[in-house]
Amino acid sequence: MTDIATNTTTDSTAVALPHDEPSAPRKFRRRGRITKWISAAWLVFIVFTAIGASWLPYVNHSCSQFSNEKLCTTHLDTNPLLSERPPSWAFFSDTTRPVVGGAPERFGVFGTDTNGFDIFSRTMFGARNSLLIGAMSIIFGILIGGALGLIAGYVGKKVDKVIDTIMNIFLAFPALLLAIFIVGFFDSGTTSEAKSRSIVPIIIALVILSIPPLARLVRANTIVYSQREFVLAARSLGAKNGRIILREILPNVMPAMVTFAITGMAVLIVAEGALAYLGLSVSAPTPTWGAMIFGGQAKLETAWWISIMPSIVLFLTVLAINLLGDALSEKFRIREAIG
Amino acid sequence: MSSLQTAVRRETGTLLEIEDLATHFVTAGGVVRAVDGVSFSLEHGQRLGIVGESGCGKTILSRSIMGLLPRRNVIRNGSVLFEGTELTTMSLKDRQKIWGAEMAMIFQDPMTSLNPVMKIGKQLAEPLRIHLGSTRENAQEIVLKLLQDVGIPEPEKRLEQYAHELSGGMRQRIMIAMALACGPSVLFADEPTTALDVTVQAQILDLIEEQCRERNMALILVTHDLGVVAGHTDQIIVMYAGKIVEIAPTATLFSKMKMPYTEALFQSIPKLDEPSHTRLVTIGGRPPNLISPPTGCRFSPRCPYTTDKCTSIEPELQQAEPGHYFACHHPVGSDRWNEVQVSLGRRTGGR
Amino acid sequence: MRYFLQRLLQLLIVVFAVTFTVSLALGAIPNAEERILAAKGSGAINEVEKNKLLDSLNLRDPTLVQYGHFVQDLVTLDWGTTFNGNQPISTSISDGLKISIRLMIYGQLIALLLAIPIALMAAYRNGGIFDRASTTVSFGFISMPNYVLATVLGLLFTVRWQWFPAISEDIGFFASPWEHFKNFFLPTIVLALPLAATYMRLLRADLINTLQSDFITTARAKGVGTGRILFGHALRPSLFSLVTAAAVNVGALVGGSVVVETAFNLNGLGRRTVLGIFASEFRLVQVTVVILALVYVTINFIVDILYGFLDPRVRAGRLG
Ligand SMILES: Nc1ncnc2c1ncn2[C@@H]1O[C@H](COP(=O)(O)OP(=O)(O)O)[C@@H](O)[C@H]1O
Ligand code: SF4
Ligand SMILES: [Mg+2]
Repeated sequence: MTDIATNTTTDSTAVALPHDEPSAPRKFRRRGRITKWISAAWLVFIVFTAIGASWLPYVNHSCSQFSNEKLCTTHLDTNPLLSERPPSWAFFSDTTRPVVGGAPERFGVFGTDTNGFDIFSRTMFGARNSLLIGAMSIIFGILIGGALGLIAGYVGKKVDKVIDTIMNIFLAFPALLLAIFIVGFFDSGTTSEAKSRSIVPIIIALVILSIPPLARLVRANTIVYSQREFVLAARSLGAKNGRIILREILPNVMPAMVTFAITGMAVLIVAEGALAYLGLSVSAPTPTWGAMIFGGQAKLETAWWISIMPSIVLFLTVLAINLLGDALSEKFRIREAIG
Repeated sequence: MSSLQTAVRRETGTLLEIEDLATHFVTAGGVVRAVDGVSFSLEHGQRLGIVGESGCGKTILSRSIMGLLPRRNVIRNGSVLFEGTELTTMSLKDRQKIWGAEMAMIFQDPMTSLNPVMKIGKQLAEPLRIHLGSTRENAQEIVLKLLQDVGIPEPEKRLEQYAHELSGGMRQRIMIAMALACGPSVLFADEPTTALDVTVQAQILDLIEEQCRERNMALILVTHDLGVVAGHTDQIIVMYAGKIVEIAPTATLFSKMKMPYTEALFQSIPKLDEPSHTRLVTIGGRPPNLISPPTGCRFSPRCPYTTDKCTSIEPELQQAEPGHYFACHHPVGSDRWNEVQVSLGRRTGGR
Repeated sequence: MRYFLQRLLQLLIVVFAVTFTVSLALGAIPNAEERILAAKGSGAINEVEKNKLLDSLNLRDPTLVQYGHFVQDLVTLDWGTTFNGNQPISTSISDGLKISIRLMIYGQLIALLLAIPIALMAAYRNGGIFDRASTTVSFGFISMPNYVLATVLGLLFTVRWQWFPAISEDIGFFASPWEHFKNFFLPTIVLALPLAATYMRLLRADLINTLQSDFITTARAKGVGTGRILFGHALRPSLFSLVTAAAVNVGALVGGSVVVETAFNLNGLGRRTVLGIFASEFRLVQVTVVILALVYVTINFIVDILYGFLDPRVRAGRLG
């Protein structure tokens, strides 16, 4: 990620010499492409399901599809009959709960949790919240951090120093503690009181975490581009500063910013999970991945799938985002070298 | 003091014998034939210039001779005999014993060729410690002597300095001292003056020549500038698109050049003794891409004397006189050459 | 020198801003008094004690006076006691630090020990099998949140195979080296693996760049052997990103291993602070946050100065 900030200044005159790799062999490239497509496909699937969770046929959301009413489990209705059933493919795992009322021994692709919720459905509904939190946070982070970075990098001097110092102040606070404090701050009332927390305080906390690194990255890139001929030319032609920033610099800073934002989103999704893990996410029964993983911790011994299945989905999603981000940054770097 | 004197070689005879050497790079775009069938030999103490535009394969040729190439995606064929030993099949470990000890190399950009975070003294002592197993003190003594030899003032002070504290010319002198450390029998100098100020260039070239003479060390001087090799070599190879197109003793080449490419290179040297109204002829176009070079003569797309023969039949190296070879169908002085000269209005016939 | 002073000035500004914010935050918390009293165990406290407690926190003073008292308390190490249980805050913090620092050192050591040789090998044979394999694996670890890693390793090593205790205890090394190892192994690994992956990628990228530079070719042409090229010539100029990341993590891990501490039930500083936030132990939280911020800022400052030692060019530039 930080590569992007520093690499914009590398010279392109270096002659290819020993230890150098003019370009990756074909075989390697194809492999890179395949992982890229698999990553993209996975993300499309997750986003699509997150959006359509309430009506997609493969998400178990309605009781009407069950002949036996008692077997109906949605992401919201508890069903004690189906408590802690292993996934149907997990022949090596048994439930420690009694199998009564004609309920199956194993259930669903991901199994069921202690309340009898279908974990697959909850994971897909959880995707909606986790992705929403990640996306919203990074979008606001870009708007604020990007603006600060552009201003700091373009105006320079005092303004730059002031913004840099403010960012340093934010960075000086331990990140997770800061987030916890912010989320906790919005919890009114005493701790014993039952809380109903929405995603808003969580997003605010994550936005604040994402501003300083984004501002720094954009600042570094802006400084590089402010010195380029086309900017100097525009300036000498009397273009207004606002126009130069928006028309000349922003489009050039964009690739680095977007690439960073994509990987940043992965970081934020993970951070939401960490908050949930510490008991600080959206209140139940609304699922997020973090909350689901945390919810299954106590049952690790008897019902591993409650924690592990959402963990796998979270891991794959973060991995896919990171792989795509990496591919993007590689692509932009190449363009930088040529142009 | 005599123990400090690096070994002075008195051998004569053939030092290097290169036979049909080819070096190709496998890239995504295709096979780059950077060096494509080069043969020549080098005597002990002989100073050889390799000239050609940039991109002609000079650097790769010199590295290919040393075996100093990237590990992957490189195909090297042919033979390099160094004092009778075949280098192309030698293991990396054995080649490392020769590098710096028997064959040394200095590079174009002294700014980037020295390790920025290692003290000059340590870098200079490294070859001595590796190859001769010198002690720290012993190495330091030799290094000081070397620094004096290459004309560096206050040598003691330099040992503790870093590369960025020295000027470009100074750094190139350091590079030369480092190359001389173990008394190699051949020095490869790859564009040693290209990155330097004009005023420093001549000094560095003189230094290299002087050291070669003193140590009876052979020199392979690689440059794109025919003017650079003129006064500092015994023999010159002109390279174009990975191949040798002309090879001759320096004096012969300048007086009786045969190859139109050599002629073009020659004409692009600015000359002081010619009237200023003389046209400065430069070569149009660029060296061909080495993935699919032109058929026939590789220079044909840019050559003013091209005929159908040139584009269909590749000219072989042929002898003009003993020791002087060229690869061209219509060399300087031929009928075709005269014809074109007349039509261009440069000459009125005959040479 | 000028650079040094500039950085020092910024450091002071940051320290001031952090302490001021932390001091102010107490007053900004909704129902701070109520929460504190609740933490104290409400009914069990009489009016006099209550006033004394709130006075000691200077909650009712004007902002600036409050800040003054806070700084005074900090500097004189008069940190007070926890609301619940009246344990000296300094004791709580030093107990927590002992665990957190230990975990940080183990994690960093393992991470660096893994990352450096792997990065060297991967960069040397850039694009080879080992490089590709290690890059892929490192991607996996970077993408794996530590709570997921803790969950998976916990499931395998403590539930399935029971090689390690599920709940780690703070057993000193000298008390019982074997028990100490058993208790700290899993938390260390969970901390170290993602860290190692990050370090490895940073170092590998820088090494690949360095290995392409001219001075490496010079060294090769001198006949320097492979090992010496890697360790003697390429490693040092490639350490910038790694040193920065590792140093920043020294501070970040001391307070930031909350998740690992929670997963393995270690009462480190981070976990104590989080529990402190939940239990309205505001004083404890305030002091800890200031300490952690100080550590972070100081380390960043040192790293900046350290750059000069790694690269004489930077040193030269800054002296001017
Ligand atoms: N590692 C490499 N991979 C692919 N092509 C290369 C590599 N190194 C050099 N080349 C190509 O080989 C040709 C000869 O290069 P070089 O020997 O450096 O030319 P010169 O030194 O004469 O300027 C050039 O066309 C260059 O692009
Ligand atoms: S062979 Fe023909 S094209 Fe080639 S150099 Fe000679 S005259 Fe020119
Ligand atoms: Mg060259």
